Amino acid sequence: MTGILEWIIFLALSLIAVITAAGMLLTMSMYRAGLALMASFVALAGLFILLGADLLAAIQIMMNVGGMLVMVLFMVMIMMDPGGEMMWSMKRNMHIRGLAAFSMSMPRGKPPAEEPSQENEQHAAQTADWTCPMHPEVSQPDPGKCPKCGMALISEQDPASAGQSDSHEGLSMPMHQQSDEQDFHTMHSGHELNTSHMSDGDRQMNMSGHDVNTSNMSSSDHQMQMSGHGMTMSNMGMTPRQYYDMMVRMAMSTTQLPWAIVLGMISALLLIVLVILTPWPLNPPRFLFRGGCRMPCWVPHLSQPCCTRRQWSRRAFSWWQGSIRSSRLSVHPCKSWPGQARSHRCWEVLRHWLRAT
Amino acid sequence: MNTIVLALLVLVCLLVGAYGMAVLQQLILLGPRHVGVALQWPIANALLLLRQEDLMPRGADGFLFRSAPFIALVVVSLTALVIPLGPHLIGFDPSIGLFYFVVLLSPFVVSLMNAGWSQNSKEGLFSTFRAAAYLVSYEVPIGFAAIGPVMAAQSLSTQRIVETQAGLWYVVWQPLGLVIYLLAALFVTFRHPFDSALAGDELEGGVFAEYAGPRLLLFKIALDAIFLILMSMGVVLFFGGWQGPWLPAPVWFVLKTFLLAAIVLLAAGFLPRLRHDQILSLSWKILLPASLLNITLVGILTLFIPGGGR
Repeated sequence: MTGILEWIIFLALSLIAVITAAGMLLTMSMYRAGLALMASFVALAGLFILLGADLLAAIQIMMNVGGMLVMVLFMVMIMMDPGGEMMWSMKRNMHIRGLAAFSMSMPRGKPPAEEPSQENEQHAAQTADWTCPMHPEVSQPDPGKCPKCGMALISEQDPASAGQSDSHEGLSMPMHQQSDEQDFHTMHSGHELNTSHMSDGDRQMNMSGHDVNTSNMSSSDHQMQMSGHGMTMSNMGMTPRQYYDMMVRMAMSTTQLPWAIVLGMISALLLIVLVILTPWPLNPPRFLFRGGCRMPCWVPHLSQPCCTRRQWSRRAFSWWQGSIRSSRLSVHPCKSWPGQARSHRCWEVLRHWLRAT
Repeated sequence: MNTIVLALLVLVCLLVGAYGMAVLQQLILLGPRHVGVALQWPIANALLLLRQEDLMPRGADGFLFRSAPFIALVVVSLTALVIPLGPHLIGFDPSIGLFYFVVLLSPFVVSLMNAGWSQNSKEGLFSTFRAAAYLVSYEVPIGFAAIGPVMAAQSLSTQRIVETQAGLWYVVWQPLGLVIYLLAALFVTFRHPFDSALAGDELEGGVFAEYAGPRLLLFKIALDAIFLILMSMGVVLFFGGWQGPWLPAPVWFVLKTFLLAAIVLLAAGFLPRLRHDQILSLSWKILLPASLLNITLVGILTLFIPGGGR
């Protein structure tokens, strides 16, 4: 009874520790993140108590609670957005599907080619997009009304920039033409357009751009439109590739990147393997092994004691271990435990594991 | 099953003690002739709070706001486990009882911080900042003050500390430690001279500014209870715990605890209310060096006092 209870408490505490640690990563509020980490540490301290290391648990609680409180205090006093309001509204706009749920303001779609060719740009310029001033994600080939708010759609290419794209055809970096007065004017109008987007507010982050003015870098991050000049204007004269790279660098998380996914998978697998192979809990419950046996046999048999039925347990043990020869298991750990001195036990376990694996 | 009954018993004792502490405060406030009023007042206040509307401010962090009073009460109940009421009357007697007690004082502040942070008001936020800023500055003195009896008893077990005071109470040769402990105890509970974190005047009650009804009642119970717990731990550390000549042990313990609490509350009434910076300089510039001096003195005295360093 107490063994089962211990197991339940153990599993519950470890679950709390893992879940709160994950909550620390997923929450947008600094305060909540600190609290979640603290809760995770306290659950770990509970595990320590369960394992009989209560002094360690007390030290864990004291150090981590005090440290976490001070950390939260300083963070909250210093940082711009301690409650996570801005981040939260960013999160509201992201696509909660698959791995993208973990990354903020990550550009969707494939990364564009390194250098967009001239034909591509011209083609994009010909298909003029009409968009809503309040909803930049709306884009239609024809003028009309926005399906979301009913406002009249405006052209993505305003006449000034269209004329400019004729005069400076083939130049993909209009930032280099700042001396041109007309171009400066279009830059300015682009800025105004972007501030009107910014009042919409949610998916946008202010960032000081080039030396001319501040621009809204991520206004079109969910769209990644490749429409020639309108895009270069809103991207502050970057090529699509540069813009994409910047968005990737600005993203809160790298989970969408393939190498990060591979690394995460590998470390998760490693953790699972470690959990399986580690003799948890160190003070194991009774129901796993009866009859004076001090070592769990790795097979959760509730009815059959392992030491009295050695044949069965050995078979099960070797099955668990995989394709190891039975001669290596000539000394079953159950046989050697009860008589041994306490200090030798851990060494025996280690040696046995090394031999077996 | 036995454990659950024991835990419930500890909780009931704690609630009765908190009621007694509220009565004591009211007695000190009104004067000794108003015993009847003082006895009725906590009950009337509890009924009043239970009838109040259950308010939650707009924009509050609901989970933290709702859970904070419960965290406070849980932490206080956990600290109550290691207080020995008699030779075998103790909820839980680990070998590190006193350390466990000191450790659990910081999660109490977590509950206050949660309350202040979650309520989406300036008063609560300022109160949160202050509570967190004070955390270290009272934990260090209270820990160092508690080290004196530990050095003398050579044990962290609260029961053992009481037993070693059979011949001589530690207050006799560690008065400095007692003073530091009591000041820090007032600080932990944010009581009168150190009440700038929960200041009723400037911050509208600080973290309790937006609390009303049953949740405020829970917080008030938790605050009274933790003051009671701190006073009883003071009795354990310096006044021989449950030991006494004729009466049974729990009676002695309760008598000593309430006497100590009455003296501390009365004396605190004479102290001027300290400002934010004055509190911190008192803690770091006076209490901390004094507690280090106390440890040195105790270390020397244990060599000479019979039964001191056994």
